[in-house]
Amino acid sequence: MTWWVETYLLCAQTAASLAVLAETNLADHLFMSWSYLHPTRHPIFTTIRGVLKPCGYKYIWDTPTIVEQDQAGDTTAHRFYLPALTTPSTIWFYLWAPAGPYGLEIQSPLHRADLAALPPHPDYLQWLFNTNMEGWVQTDAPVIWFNDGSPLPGCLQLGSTGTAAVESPTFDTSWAPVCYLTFKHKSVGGGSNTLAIHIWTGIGWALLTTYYLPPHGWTAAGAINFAVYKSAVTKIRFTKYGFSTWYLDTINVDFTP
Amino acid sequence: MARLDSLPSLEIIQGFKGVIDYFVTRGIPCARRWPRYSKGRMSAPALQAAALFGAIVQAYALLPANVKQELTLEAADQPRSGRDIMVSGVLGHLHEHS
Repeated sequence: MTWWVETYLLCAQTAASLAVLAETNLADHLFMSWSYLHPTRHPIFTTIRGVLKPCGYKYIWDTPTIVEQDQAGDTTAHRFYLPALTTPSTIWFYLWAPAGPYGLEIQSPLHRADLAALPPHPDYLQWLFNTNMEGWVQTDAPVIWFNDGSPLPGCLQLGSTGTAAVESPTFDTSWAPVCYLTFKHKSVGGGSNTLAIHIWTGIGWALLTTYYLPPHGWTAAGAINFAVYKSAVTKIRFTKYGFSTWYLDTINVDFTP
Repeated sequence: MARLDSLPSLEIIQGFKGVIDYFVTRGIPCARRWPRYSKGRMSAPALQAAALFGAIVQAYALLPANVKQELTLEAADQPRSGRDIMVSGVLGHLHEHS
């Protein structure tokens, strides 16, 4: 009997698209039902010793859009990509697979993703489908490994005060439908930092996102993830603004289909 | 088993949980000694269903923090816990297309 639960869920929003990366404890082929509108909650009842008692709610969806995961076959990692979405908006969705334990669907809890009203950067769009080189960049302290394993040193510590920046080497992201950047960082000391992440457009740096870095400790989840726009040759820059030492431990750019 | 004129209140019924089993059969309220099950007397499908249910319930520990938080928020205004909602979903009773 097939069943699964989500062991990881990441919603990577851009200005007008949503990428959902989920992992399950057991392999299956998943679908996503999503809608701009919150599904109706219908109360459900149970009979306890002859007495009818409300016991919760069921979500009733009115013609949701159904998309299939990007990967073929049964997998434990599931990727969904929703392009050309209306912003600002909230996407309500759940993941499901047919043929559950008792012939019904296997369903995830209800999830939501808020799309910010950010205008798409024109540089992002013109990067699409330029080359077909595969690759990945991954770091393991104390060095960064890029594609062929060549090391890039010096990406561990970004200053103790003020502004400091570090760049990744160039890499290719054009062939994949969506990419994911994961990095692990740590602030040391009593001050907080702000981290800005830029991506190289070929003619200049475009701001991808900024994060507030609280003092002390690693990020709670150990990683922050977001979608990376496609580019034939791009690179990523991490810039720290603040007054305490900040460490960048690992970077992973995953654009496996 | 004894036939009753009416079922007592739910508080009384739950107070006798494990001792007296109140139930309704064919519209007749009844009471009986609390049934005792042993695994040896359970059929193979029942054992399999129980093992499956146990595995699903225990899988709640595998959920990531953000999903658990969503479930906790969802369970705030209903009798079910976040884990109950998750189990309901795995068994296919959480969502329905109109």
